Parts: sequence; C-alpha cells; structure tokens
Amino acid sequence: MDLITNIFLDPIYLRGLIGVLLASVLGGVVSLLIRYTQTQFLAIESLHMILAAAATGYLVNLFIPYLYPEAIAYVVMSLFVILIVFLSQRGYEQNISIATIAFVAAAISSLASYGLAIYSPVGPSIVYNILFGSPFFLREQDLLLSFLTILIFLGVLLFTWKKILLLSFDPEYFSYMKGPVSTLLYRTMIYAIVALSAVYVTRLVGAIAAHVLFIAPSITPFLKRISVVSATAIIVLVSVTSLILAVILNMPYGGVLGVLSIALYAIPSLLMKK
Amino acid sequence: MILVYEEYAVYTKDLSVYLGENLVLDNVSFVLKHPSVLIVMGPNGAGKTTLLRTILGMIKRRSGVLKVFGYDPEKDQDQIRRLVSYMPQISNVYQYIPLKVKEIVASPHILKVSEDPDQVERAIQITGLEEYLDKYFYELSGGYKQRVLIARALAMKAKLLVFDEPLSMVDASAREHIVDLLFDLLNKKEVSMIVVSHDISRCLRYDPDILFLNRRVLAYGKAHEVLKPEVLEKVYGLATLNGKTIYLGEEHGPYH
Repeated sequence: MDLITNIFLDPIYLRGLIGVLLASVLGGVVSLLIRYTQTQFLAIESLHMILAAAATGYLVNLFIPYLYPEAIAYVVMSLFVILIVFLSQRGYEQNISIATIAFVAAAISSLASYGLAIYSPVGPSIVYNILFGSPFFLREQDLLLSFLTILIFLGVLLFTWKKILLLSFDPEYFSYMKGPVSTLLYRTMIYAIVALSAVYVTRLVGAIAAHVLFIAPSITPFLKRISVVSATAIIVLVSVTSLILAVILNMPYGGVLGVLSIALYAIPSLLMKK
Repeated sequence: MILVYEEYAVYTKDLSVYLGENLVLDNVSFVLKHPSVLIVMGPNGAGKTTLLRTILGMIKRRSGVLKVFGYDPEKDQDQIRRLVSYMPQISNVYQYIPLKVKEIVASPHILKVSEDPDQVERAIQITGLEEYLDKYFYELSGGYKQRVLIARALAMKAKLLVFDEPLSMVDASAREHIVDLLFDLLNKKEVSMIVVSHDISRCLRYDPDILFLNRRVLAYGKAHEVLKPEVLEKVYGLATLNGKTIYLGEEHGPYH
C-alpha cells in the first residue's frame, strides 16, 4: 500500500506517472488514427525509423551541443515522411515506399549507434534509453515540453479529425471533392502525425513500449465499436495500470504493458468471432 | 451550325484516354442532353469507371473533346465540383470508420465544397434516412448504405449526378427502391444522371439512354433500340436461343 501511495507522492515516481500519462493520451489517440487510416505498417516502421532519428539526434548533439537531440529527431523523421510521400507520388505503392525508407533508416541507425558508442562514454546507455525509455528519469522541463507538444498534436488532430475520417472512409470521393493537391496534403499530414508522435512517445517511454501503445489498440476489434474518447480512456487506463504494476512487481514498464495488452486486447480479440 | 456546349450535361467527341501506356477509352463519342439519364454498361474492365473519372476531371484525356455544361473538366475543376456530384463504388468505402449517417451525408459541407444546409435536409428526406441519422454507417444494411451514399451525392445542388454501381451489394427490393428514387429525381426535371450499372432490368420501364462500352462505344441509344440479342452478343457474348438468353463467355478487359 505504501508503495502505491509513494507512486503518487514520490517526485521520481510521480514524474514517471505523468510521463506515461502524457505518452498514453497521445499514443491512444494516434493508435485510433492508425486504425482508421489503416497505417499500421507506417506506424511500425516509424518506430523502427525513430532509432535512426533519435540516435542521429544524440550524435549531432555531441558535436553541436546547442542543437537539441529531440529537435534533430523531429527533423530527421520529417525528412523520412517527405521521402515516403515523394516515392508514393513517383508511383510506388505506399508500403513499398515505407519499406524503402525503413531500410535507409536501418542503415542510418546502425551507423549513428556505432558513432555514439565510439564518441560518447555513455553511448550504449543512450541507445538502451531510446529502446526502453526511462520515464522515472524525466526532468520537469521535459514534462513541460511534452505537455506543450501534446497540445500541438491534439490541437491539429481536433481541428482535422472529421476530414481525416472522411478521407479514410472514401478516398475516391474525398479526392474528387478536395482535389489532388489537398488530398496529398492531408495524407502527408496523417503520415507526419504518426511519424512525429513516435518521436514524442519514444522520448517519454521508449521505442518498445511505444510499439505496444501504438499497435495493440490499433488492431483490437472491440475498440472500433466505441467512441474515440472511451477508447482513449481505456488505453490510458491500461497504460497507467501497467506503470503501477511495474513498480509493484519491480519489472520494466514496457514489458508489463505488453503482457497486459496481450491479456486485454489480443486474447478477447482472438476469442471474438470475426 | 454553331454547337452550344452548355445545352449538354456532357458532350464528348472522339475521347481517348490512356492509363500509363494502355489505351482504356478509344474514340468515345456521346452526348447527354440536360436533363436526361444515361446508363453505361459493359463487361468488367471495359473502362466504365475511367469514363466517369475522366468526366469528373480526375483523369486527363489524351485526345478528343469533353465538355460538361460547357466546361472543360481538366481546367475548370471548381465549376465541375459545383455542378457535378459523384458517388463512387461502395467497394471503395472503408466501412469501419466511426462516422454517423448525418456526418457522411453532410460531407460536402464538412469539406467546405457546398454551404447549403437545406440541401442536406432535402437529401435526407428524399432518401428516407430520417430515422437513421445517428446510426453508424457500419450498422446499416447494404441497401441503406447505398442510400447514404446517394444522399451524400444529393446533398449538393448539382445539375449532374454521376453514380458508379449504385445497385451493387443491395437486395432486389432495395434495388427497386433506389431505381425509383433516381428516376423520380429525373422526372422532376432537376438533374441529369450518368449511372454505371450491370443491372438495368429495373430501369427498363423508364426507357433510358444506354451506352454499351468496351473500350470503344459498341452501342448507344434508347434502351428499346439497343437491347437486342446481336448487341448483347457483341458486348457480353450473350445470345438468344428459342427465346432464352444463353451465355457465350465474357471478354474481360483489364481496366475499370
């Protein structure tokens, strides 16, 4: 009981809790966006590309300290999105375009991780941090910046949500009504939100937990039959419960979140008739 | 004689369209006077949907003349979107999106292409969807799903309605209702229509214009003029034997 009380009183636990809460709110909304826009492959590959973007960010920061690693990660991910859209516009299938950029990112992440290991005494721990996160070691300014970032993401989604749903519902109709340029802009925006929110969530909880946060709800049939607010509330509840259980059981948050997600999302989905 | 394009909902002459290097429409010519209805028929891959998309300005033609109410669909996109409403095939729709009927019908307004809320109300009344406005699309039967998409097309004050397979995925009684609904609009002299459909049995009593297409125009005229065994045999490989229609095999083209 003391341990649970500590989670809400101890500054370290509390920062972890707030970090997970922020990551879960955006992760939940984005996972529903991924479901509705059927961009699961992009989401998974974004979480692979984030290794390249984050490692590049830390590496550049070693040599140019005033360039903030996260800002560089956002720029690198934006470039990946632009390249995916460019390839799609050249006539490549969406998944082929994503896969092509994903293997470019794989090469970059390998080189950047190697560079970090060579040039930084804490290089390996940075890479470990990118993968598994460290929600308990978030600083107050990190949380404040995260809060402002989430407001921007959610604001953009709130403003464009209905149009995104209409585009996903009937792309042919949307393309006729809005024209090819506007349709391309909306598609690019969807890709950008998925890819850039991967930077945000990875920063808070690590790439592994981000996989679970993004993908598990997006492939869960019963979540599509309830409202966006209710589905997000369930995702946030599962995520925060995972953190509390992780503290109690002295286990990593990502692992507990994965197990809980399998129990709550995957098993009921498998038991449900298609 | 001076040709006044504005008299025609659609005027085409020697229209040719390529998708990549493949010729999909070859010297297609027809006119659709306003108001009237044209049913486009042909085997799968005959270029029917490509014809619709060209009329809407979504695909560029390689050669020929195409005018929609006097406008060039490739150059005058804003005017075309105001004048022409489009209902794509229901198979293009991803149904499991949490959109309610009222939101889908109001799409032209949400997308800021049309700003007439009375037209949305009217579309809902015409299609009889009043009781279903708060239902999600995926909760509806096939017939009502088609009605929702028709209502969305009617929610703009368009002069030409372009429907791609509005009778697919619906049962016989729903087909009857949808056909009556579409021809009722025509009888009110409000709109012209181009309808791609494989099933015209329920339309025959209205004797519409029919265009048989298989990359080229194979037959074009009033239903009672073109629905003849020799034409059907040419288009579908159908013929009659002792008064019964027999199937000879259908030549499928690669395009839609």
